[in-house]
Amino acid sequence: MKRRNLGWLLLGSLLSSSAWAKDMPLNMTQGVTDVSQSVYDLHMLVMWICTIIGIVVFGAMFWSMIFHRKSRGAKAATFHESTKVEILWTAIPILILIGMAWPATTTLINMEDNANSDITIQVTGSQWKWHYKYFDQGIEFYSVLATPSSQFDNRDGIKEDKWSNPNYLLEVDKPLVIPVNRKVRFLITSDDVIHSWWVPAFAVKQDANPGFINEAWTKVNEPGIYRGQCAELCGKDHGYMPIVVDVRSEVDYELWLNQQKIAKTKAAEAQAQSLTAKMSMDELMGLGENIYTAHCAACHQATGQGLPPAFPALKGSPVATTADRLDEHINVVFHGRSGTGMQGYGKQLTLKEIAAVITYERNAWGNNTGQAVQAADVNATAAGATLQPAIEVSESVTIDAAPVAAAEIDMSDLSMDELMAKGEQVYGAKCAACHQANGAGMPPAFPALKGSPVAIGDVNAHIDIVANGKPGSAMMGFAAQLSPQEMAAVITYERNAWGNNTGDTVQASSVAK
Amino acid sequence: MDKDSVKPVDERVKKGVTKLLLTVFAMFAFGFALVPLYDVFCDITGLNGKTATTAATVNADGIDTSRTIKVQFISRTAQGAAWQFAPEVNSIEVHPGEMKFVKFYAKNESGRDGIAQAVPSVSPGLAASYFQKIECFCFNQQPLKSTEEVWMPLQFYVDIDLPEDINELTLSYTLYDITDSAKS
Amino acid sequence: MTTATETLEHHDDDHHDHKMTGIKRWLYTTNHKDIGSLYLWFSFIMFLTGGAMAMVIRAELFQPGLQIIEPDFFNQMTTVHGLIMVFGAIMPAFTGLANWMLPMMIGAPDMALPRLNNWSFWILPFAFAILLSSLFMESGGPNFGWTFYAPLSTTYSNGSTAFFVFAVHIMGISSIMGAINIVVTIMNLRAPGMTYMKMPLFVWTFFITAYLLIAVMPVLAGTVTMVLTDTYFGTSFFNAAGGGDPVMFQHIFWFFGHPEVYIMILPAFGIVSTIIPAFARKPLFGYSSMVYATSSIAFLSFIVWAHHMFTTGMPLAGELFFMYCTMLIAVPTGVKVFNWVATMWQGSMTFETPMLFSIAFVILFTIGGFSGLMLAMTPVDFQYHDTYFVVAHFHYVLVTGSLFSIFAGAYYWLPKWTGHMYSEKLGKLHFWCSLISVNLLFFPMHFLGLAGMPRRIPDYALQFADFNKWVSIGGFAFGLSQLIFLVVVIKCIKGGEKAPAKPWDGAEGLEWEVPSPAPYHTFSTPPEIK
Repeated sequence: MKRRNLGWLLLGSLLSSSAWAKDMPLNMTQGVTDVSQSVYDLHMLVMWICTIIGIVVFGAMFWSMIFHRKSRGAKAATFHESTKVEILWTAIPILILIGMAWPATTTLINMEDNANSDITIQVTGSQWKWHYKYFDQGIEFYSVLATPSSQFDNRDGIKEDKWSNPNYLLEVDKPLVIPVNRKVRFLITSDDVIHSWWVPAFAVKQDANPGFINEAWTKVNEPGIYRGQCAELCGKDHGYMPIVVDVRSEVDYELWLNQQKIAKTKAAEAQAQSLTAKMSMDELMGLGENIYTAHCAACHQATGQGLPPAFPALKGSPVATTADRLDEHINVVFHGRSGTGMQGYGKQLTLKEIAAVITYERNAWGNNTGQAVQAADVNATAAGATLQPAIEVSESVTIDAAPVAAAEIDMSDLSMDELMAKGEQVYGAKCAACHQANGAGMPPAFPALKGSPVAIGDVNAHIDIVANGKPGSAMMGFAAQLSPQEMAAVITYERNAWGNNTGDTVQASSVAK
Repeated sequence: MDKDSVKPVDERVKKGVTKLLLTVFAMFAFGFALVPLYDVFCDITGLNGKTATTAATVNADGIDTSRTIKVQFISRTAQGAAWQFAPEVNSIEVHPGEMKFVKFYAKNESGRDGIAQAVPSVSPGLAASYFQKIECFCFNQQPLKSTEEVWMPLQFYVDIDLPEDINELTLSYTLYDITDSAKS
Repeated sequence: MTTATETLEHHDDDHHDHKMTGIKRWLYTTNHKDIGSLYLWFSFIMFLTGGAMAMVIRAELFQPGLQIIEPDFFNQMTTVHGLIMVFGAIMPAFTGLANWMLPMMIGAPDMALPRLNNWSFWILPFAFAILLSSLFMESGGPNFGWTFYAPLSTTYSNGSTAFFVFAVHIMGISSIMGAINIVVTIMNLRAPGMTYMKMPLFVWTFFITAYLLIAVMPVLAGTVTMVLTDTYFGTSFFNAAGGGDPVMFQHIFWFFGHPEVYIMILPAFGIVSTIIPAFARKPLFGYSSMVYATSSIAFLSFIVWAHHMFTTGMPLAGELFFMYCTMLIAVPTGVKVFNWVATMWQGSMTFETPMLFSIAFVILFTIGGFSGLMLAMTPVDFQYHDTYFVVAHFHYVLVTGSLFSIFAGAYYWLPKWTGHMYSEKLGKLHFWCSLISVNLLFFPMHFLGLAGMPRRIPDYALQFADFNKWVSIGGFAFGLSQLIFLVVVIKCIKGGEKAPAKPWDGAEGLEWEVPSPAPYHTFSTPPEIK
């Protein structure tokens, strides 16, 4: 401990007056679910029972301490047993306990009833972040602490003020979003050690055990943002893996789902593009440093010296400096190293980001390999291919796993039946989430298409909205996601389903205009 | 103390120590016996959703078409396992007693020949003992050559005696790369 | 290890006749009083060592942010603090008291197995040397919590696991040998006429505790052995990849762990059941119900272990079973508290330091019991579990429970041990400083837990800042207060008012029939019990 730190400690303690701190609730939260309310009630019941027993017992004690003291001339009695009294004070507590066990049992039975949920979300803990996967929606993402380390790491002096950050240590980059009033089931598991997913406002705390799944559920009554933390010691940064749940109205939730789906498509496109792009060394190093600071520096340290032996140094490490061990380097970063704290980043970072951070690790802190790694290299290696040491000729590496080669755009005309069949399919995948399978929508945010002026009026206006979206509304443009033929089909479908019998057939050629 | 009264005490002490030492060793052994006992305990109570590690017999109790159970599949790869691993479908609906066949896709992307082991877990845990696997890739280690891919079979039925209040169950597989430990 | 030599320096003046001098006396001693002193000094040194680690923890938590240490070292501190306090401070202190007092209380000349007694003490310093040395190694010390949950302690450990495992093995062997000694001593060396139901309650509680130790310490040894082979020899007891189960670790650990917490509180019951009647000048109320209550608590301790694991995903039936059993423990514990109150009732009380600590024990242990009852309720436990509420609970039970009873016992028997009266003024100062600071230290933790602060975190959200500051101040004050105790003991050894054979007029028991200080050999001829 350096003397300077002590100085800061004293100074900091003087400055951090209570006026700056947030008020802390003095009791358990009542939460925002029926379960958390009954847990709170149970807590209060037991607490009052204990308080009353305490007053009686301690009262008797203090009475005898005051009145039966020798200094007041008290003479000691000689009694030393009374079967009657002893039976009494065995029986009464049993009755009180039964009175407490009853409501506890009913609450518990309710808590453990995971059946009939509306949404299933898989929650996976890993050192030291949470991963959420919406089971039926195909959305998944990591949720990482958003408070910058410059706010909490004060060992070299206070670098940034934490007191102006109301959500210090309780904020994440991407919160879990769930709808209000729907039963959400959590399937909880872990990638490495045991974690515990805890949101006090829901009264949900469930351990995440590696290799096994646990269930918990919640049904939130109030929209809002609720914060929790990992509740099982899971290693070094156990204190830095918060949980944030953003509970939204159903409409806002659907909106969010759509945004996520779009973002997913965009990300896939960017990923595909990055496979053919070649980044310059400077670009790679710049991006790499950012990624390194955000994801790697907590363990391997900004200096690359790590925290041996659990977190080895990267500076001068054979993996990061030997030219023909690049494959291994990529594999470790992409897939992780089993049995160590090193987790795989293949699902957390894009190929481009992984390429950049590996380039950074191979060229920073005097690891001057001069190797520039491209997204395509990462993709090829991660899929099991072996790279040649001469990485500079990376263009020549064939990429087996390149997703979706841009197929010829099919502009041919289709029959009405073909259009309707294809349209129904596309509608189910892209539109039904908001506008519903029966075309009734969820007004007012998602208007009905059945009988809507757009769907039975001017064809071109309809095409325009589907292709380019409607500014100021939740309706997004699908031109980037759907082929002209798919758009034509879905428009045809919308104009002829649910009694919108316009009889219009729209073809790819007219959409492409 | 005269010698006569010392001797019996000594013997009693000796006997007592022997008994207690035996207790100590018995309790040490009991600590290890807890391992198989735990499996029995899990089997009875459905703790932790452990499923049987050997094949079940074919269902002979008929099919209960009045109930429909939703079975969800979750596939995960453990840290460091450079394999792709996914079920062909996310979930299916079955009637209790009805035999179902589901395939899981796996591909070895580790750049070397490897062996993987899938570890199953069922939730709710109580349902685990009603989940009967006739054939499962999790019964065996799965050796795959580098970049080799495979569809692995799972044939199962849900026992007709599944408790009434369970209508949804989740089967999770975690795939571990055990190449190193399997070799040694 | 320095502890041994430090121990000696305070102890070369009080005993007499035919014994070796210098370090050899202490290394080779088979005298129960010498070994008792060694245990007590060792536990006090460990108490200060573990306390110093608590000071590091509280200094880091004094305000939010990482000020002094890095998170990994913080975890090492919480882990080693827990291990040292449980296995190094509380348990050896009780063994020390048992060594000193048991033979005198049952009228025996010594423990039944004196050489084993020497051995069981002298392996302890090695155990803790191994444990503490790992803190100075490159890998750092154990950082997985004193409960060493797998796979954090196996697959994901930092290389200190082997040191931790061997240290625990040695501690376990020491405890088991000590416990065997206590059992055979009580069974075979009681003075003629002392039937089981005439034994002082102190003897009863140690008798039952020793049985608990013999039953569960081997299970702990088995657990750490499995951790060792999982970490270094490729077994898969707790590794899902090889067909093991990390949750099984917790079942096996808590099968040991719950009886273990009663190992640390039952002797405390014995001590206060000795002291309260002495200063109330009235016999203990309900002696036989005390014996039955102690036995039933010991029995129940074997069937409640999973209440530490409600959030691990247990089936409903399991949760209900363990909830009901746990709540049931409140009944015999309540009987004990009521009996103590009834003993004080219509007594003729005086309030010397041992009595003050005993009364504080009854009140504060009961508060710990209340929070224990709250924790037993499974649905609410989902909110309390692994928060500061739990930290508050077990510190109320272990610090104001076990530790206060040890202080009470030490003050009560110091005149017998040293032949001098301790300074009542300093003793009372120690008591009041401890009482106030310990409550400032642990009471606000209840609120921190209820407000949602998880345990074992080096940094916390800003709302917890004010309470943590007060807790830290309480912690520093409590730590400093214990130095008063050191002064009291040293002064008492060095001199002071001569103590009569029976300094407390209400005290009962054979130990007061021998002169103060107790001669090196007592009851070579067994006394006659009427």
